[in-house]
Amino acid sequence: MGEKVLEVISLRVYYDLPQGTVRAVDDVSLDVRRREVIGIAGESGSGKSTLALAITGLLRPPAKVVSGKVLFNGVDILRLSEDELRRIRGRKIGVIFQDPNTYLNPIYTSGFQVAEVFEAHRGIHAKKYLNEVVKLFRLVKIADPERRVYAYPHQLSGGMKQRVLISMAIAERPDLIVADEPTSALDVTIQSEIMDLLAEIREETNTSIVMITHDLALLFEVADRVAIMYAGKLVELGRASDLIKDPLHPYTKALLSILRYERKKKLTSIPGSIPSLINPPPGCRFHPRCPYAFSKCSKIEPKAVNIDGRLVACHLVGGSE
Amino acid sequence: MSSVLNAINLRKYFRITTGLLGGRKYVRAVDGVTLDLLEGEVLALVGESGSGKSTLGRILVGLQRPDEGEVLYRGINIYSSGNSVSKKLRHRIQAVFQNPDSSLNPRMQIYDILKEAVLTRNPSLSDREVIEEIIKLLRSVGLVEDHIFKYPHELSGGEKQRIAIARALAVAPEVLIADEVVSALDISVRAQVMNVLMDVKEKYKLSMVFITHDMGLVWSISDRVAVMYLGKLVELGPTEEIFKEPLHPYTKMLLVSSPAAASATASKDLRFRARGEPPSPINPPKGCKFITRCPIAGSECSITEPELMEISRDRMVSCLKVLKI
Ligand SMILES: Nc1ncnc2c1ncn2[C@@H]1O[C@H](COP(=O)(O)OP(=O)(O)OP(=O)(O)O)[C@@H](O)[C@H]1O
Ligand SMILES: Nc1ncnc2c1ncn2[C@@H]1O[C@H](COP(=O)(O)OP(=O)(O)OP(=O)(O)O)[C@@H](O)[C@H]1O
Ligand SMILES: [Mg+2]
Ligand SMILES: [Mg+2]
Repeated sequence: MGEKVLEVISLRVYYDLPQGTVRAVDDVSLDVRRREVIGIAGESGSGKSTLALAITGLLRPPAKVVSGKVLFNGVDILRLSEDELRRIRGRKIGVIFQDPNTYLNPIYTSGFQVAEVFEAHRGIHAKKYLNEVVKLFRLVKIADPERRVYAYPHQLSGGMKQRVLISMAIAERPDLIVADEPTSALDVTIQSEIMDLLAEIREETNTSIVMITHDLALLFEVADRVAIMYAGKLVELGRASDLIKDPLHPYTKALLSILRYERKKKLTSIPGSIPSLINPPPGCRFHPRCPYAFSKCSKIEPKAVNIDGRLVACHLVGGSE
Repeated sequence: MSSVLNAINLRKYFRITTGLLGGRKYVRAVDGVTLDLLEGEVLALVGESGSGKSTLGRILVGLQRPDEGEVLYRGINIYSSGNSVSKKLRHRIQAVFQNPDSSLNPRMQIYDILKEAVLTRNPSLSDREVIEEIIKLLRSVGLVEDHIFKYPHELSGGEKQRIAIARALAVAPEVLIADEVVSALDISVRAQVMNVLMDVKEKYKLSMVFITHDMGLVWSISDRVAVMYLGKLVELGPTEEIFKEPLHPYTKMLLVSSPAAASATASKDLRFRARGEPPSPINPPKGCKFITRCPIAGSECSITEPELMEISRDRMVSCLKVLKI
């Protein structure tokens, strides 16, 4: 296995709001090795995007890092200045965000914004890079790339904007790509081509990828290891092939047991309600919805235990603490 | 069955800037679409990214005046009165858009956003009843009360999406245009929200246009499927028939490459694996627009553009190869 490109160590990121503190990422540890694809899935609102923002040095108030480190090639991202971060982001870390609209500036053409990635790192006027951008657009299957570089974000469809962000993220062949729902707005045919493209880039430049997605079929297809999040916690982490065969955490089990959709039947979901992150349940955060919960689960928070390289945070697994 | 909406020969071209290449160019986002939405049905609208689904959706709710054609809501042309649709109609036809950020006012708290919607339906509610109603709405889409006094940017992607859905449901419309409304949700929450949506649909006899890339969901909830490619409808028909026997090669491609639909579809023909370059919507190919990616195209396909034709009861397709058989 390659060396560690990224190490997230006991990270806590909270949002301070007048109505309380949202414990969005609460003691999460994770590492990513060179060439590795780590997939992250989990409940909506469980802290996946917050984790991605922390890794890329993009947290903004009211977010605050309460504790922990994010080491990228050994350097703590959380301690870098805005200038230092800008030099890393784009060139060393490529980012694809869940919501392209927040990260595309409506008043500049999409091509200009991608070209700026080059400019920011090479200090030359962006226009010179338009040809490079056309090539990138072609790679991400944007039709008519020569003309589309002049399109403003509002002139592009949802899936095209997503691909503009993808082209920005891969432009400099970074060491690490953090992709938050990179293909949610794409149809399956283009989606598979984008995944092939990311795989090629990884082959070429040994890029590591952190991919967040709700598409479990896709996740298990492309990820080497998979991390599952629930209510701010990383509840399970292991090789994709192990996890899908034999999920250990009850939340992972529940998630993976949701069957294919049947025609005109009620869809199955995990019973119970999503917990508050301001007042999370005591003990294990999943215990109110867990079919296997016993008395200890509502009192003591389970620590992650390592079972043959797999991390699981559950009192049922691994026995004593 | 009677229809709630009739879209007749809709056309929307966008003028675009082309930089140095110059000249007047247009993107043919919606290029002659005729479609009825039947009372109480779920019509799934699927198709390639950039094929015009969202633009069509915006035209249907009255937010994007078409260059040509009309949209009738129970026989009334929704674009007849000046530039925008009358307020009354606007409440009957609700939309939840692909990107909740652009439709949720960033300066309003969730409370105010939902309050407005709740009062639209029932203006006489007291403050207390409004709060109760809002909490009920939040719960129904799987959200806790924590979020009431947050602003949209203080929510996760999936939470925002659910606020947009809750707001549309609060108004109790007759027609709902739902554009990728559950794409940011995990499968469990997605199921929960879809169940709520379908309950509301039954209860209020809602008719729905459901735009999605998730063929599994299409299979699960829709009555009919409309497939778009480069601004045009290429296939239309009952869901079960389309999954059993897709006719247009693009529909086949969609179903073959979709793991979620694999169990439902009979079409396992590997010739229809995704391939080829997406064509330009600005300079679309001559003849059939799918020709650049079609595994079964013949020479006739580059000459004549096929029209959408009825080939059996309720089924329409535009493909020369299919029509010949
Ligand atoms: N700027 C913010 N201010 C306050 N709370 C926030 C902010 N951003 C996110 N949150 C809260 O933090 C929690 C985690 O949000 P995050 O966006 O990380 O979730 P996620 O796992 O990415 O969800 P999704 O799958 O829906 O995108 C949520 O409860 C959300 O409401
Ligand atoms: N305001 C606009 N100005 C110029 N072009 C536009 C505008 N809005 C949309 N388009 C173009 O029209 C075409 C159709 O876009 P639309 O958003 O309807 O596609 P879509 O099918 O919803 O795609 P997706 O699945 O990616 O959301 C695209 O080529 C897009 O770039
Ligand atoms: Mg997110
Ligand atoms: Mg769209």
